[in-house]
Amino acid sequence: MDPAPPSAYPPLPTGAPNLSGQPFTRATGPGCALAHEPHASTIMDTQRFIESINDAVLKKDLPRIDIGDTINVHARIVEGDKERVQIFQGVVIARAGRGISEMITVRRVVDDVGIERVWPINSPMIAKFEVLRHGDARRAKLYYLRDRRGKSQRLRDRRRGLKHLNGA
Amino acid sequence: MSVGLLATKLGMTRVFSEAGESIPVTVLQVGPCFVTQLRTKEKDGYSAVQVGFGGMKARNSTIPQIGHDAKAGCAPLRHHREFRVDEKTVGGFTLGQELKLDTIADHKYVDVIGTSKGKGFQGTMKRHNFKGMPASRGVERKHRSPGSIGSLCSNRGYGGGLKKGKKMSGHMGAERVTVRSLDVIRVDAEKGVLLVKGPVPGANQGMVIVRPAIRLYRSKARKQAGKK
Repeated sequence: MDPAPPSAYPPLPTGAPNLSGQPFTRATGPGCALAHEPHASTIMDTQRFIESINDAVLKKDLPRIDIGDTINVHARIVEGDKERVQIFQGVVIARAGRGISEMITVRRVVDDVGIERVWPINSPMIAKFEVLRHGDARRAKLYYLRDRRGKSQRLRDRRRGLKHLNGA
Repeated sequence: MSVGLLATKLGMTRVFSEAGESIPVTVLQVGPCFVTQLRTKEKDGYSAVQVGFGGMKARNSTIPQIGHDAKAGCAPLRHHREFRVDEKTVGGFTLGQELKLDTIADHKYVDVIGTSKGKGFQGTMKRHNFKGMPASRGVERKHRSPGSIGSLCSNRGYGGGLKKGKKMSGHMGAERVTVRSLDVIRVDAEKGVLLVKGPVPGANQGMVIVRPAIRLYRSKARKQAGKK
């Protein structure tokens, strides 16, 4: 038998009769990862492709929400066939995840009891976010607010780093 | 049984339903698959459709394998699986025919078969969900042990040794796993991308088999019957 292994295709690999009479068909796509063939996974890597699934759903009109900001979350609530909007006001103490999985933790204190709700930013159940106040926060997660009681859980108003808001 | 398709598990993400629920989904790149062989009763003793999937370099394949794929007019394919169908169904396929996602696109539920991630040698608590031993109350150095494994027991009811099939520690994972009745969340027939609800066995980039659900879970069967 001819020991020479087939080197490339097309043309037909040696020793492999193409009995069908049709030209070779190639499988393409990320599952057919071949370094020498241009296909979806080399044009766009798998992770980016997965993220692109939700591209159309990601909210583009979000206001800039920073840690420490006081915001209103307008949540749509469906009761039977009626829908109403409930507003949850609080301080943003954490932001986690990215893309479709991005979550925001909002903390408010009612009658000395802290309530934290975690919202998926891109959820269709949130009608809108409203930024009311910019708080001065020096870290990315304000979990220390959980240990504060009374006046000490207030954040100062932010005076620096507001260029993006003033349009300067 | 119908002919399934081969797919690559790309990874997981989530999508939001119209009602606002967050649905965990696995992204599968399905096909393109090619019919590489038609098994018939008279020739092979059984009837089936062999499906090939995934390109590979010819130099990484073998000459017999290349020849096998070339008979169907295909470049070397990485994976081949057979689906047992009756003779009449086999007749509906032609050698080298391309199978795309649209052949299963109108199904609401699919089964996904894959090879689970290997876990190595594992104890009974992880492998068989045993409870282990108490944390205290006189238990020493035996907290994760299986306890008594019985004695003087045979499969006929009496005799020496252990009962066959006794659950013990050993190799876990890296075996064929079928998840049944997964909800089809979205189908992009053009790109061959299928989103199914929930996880699927195996690592990302692994090969899985997708087939129309053979036997639905009772709750889903009821749901489907109710909607129709």
